[in-house]
Amino acid sequence: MSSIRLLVAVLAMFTSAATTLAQGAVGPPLDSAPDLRPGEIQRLFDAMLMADAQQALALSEKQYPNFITRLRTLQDTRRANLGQRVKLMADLQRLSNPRATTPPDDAALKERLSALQELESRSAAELRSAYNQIDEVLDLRQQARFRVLEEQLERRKLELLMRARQNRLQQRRQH
Amino acid sequence: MTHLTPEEFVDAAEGLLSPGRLQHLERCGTCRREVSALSALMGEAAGSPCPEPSPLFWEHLSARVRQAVRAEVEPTVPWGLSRLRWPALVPLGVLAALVVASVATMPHRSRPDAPLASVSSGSAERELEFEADDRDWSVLADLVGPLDWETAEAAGLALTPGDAELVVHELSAEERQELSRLITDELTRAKS
Repeated sequence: MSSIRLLVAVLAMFTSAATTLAQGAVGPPLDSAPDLRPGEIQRLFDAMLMADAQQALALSEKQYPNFITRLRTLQDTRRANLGQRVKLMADLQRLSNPRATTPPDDAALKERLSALQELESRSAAELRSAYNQIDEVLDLRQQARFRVLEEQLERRKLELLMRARQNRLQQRRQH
Repeated sequence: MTHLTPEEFVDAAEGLLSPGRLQHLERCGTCRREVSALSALMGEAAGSPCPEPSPLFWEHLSARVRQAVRAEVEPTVPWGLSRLRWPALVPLGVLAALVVASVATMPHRSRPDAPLASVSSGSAERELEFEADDRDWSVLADLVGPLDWETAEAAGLALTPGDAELVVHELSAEERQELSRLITDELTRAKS
């Protein structure tokens, strides 16, 4: 039953990235690569997290639906806040660039710094709340394993990112 | 007068230091030694063969450098320096200087806030940009090669959830497609 449930979850996550599922063991030629948006990669990462969490946390039938819902909230919260932070940091970088030809706009800098501080406070509170919601579903050991799982998965994601870049670089050199 | 900041060391190594700070440099043996060491290191890096670039170093470590700079001007934020060890501090110091130098002087393929649609594939222009970027990566990757995960973590460079997804925005369309293939393989293996 649990394997069917896992399969359904994974397939649901894959729906929007169906084109990528058709890939074989070897990547397609460089000139035929469709443009895959980062959002679709995120959904694949989510599928990885769900599959790993199901195994690592040994979720019960009762826990699973609540956990998945709250996990989505956590991911959405984190992504929204990270996106805003990246934009604010880019603004700050642009506004404070020492090599800029125009004089710095102090009012704009102050406003962006204030927005960053507000975002950091709000982000911390929202993430804490999202984690608390997840913790309510999990027992103590599962809570600990979930934190460890998230960090381990982050490393795996980076390893995959590096492999993807290296594979493409090798392919390009062979062409 | 205070010693040169990391940014000023880079400026000095590139001959861009302001006259006022140049006077300090001429009088201060400590700063002269640092600038001399940095210049030699940058010269060596530019002339040495380089390994393949990694997407980790640019996004993740430059973010950490920005955090460190912010922490420096906010005394209420603890540095946690007591936890750092010299084996980690030395490569990180070099890395921080190089990241600053790279940000200031080298062309970038894309920025974190760049619109996703701006990432195109296949054009000659795009290819040239990528190759230039590879060289940037290579310099960094070559110099921080000895910086393994354990050392990086000891220096406070631990990954936090969400970091990797920021790097996705730095990938080209081809790399994202390859990444999706690799993830799919992982999921297939997990399922079976």
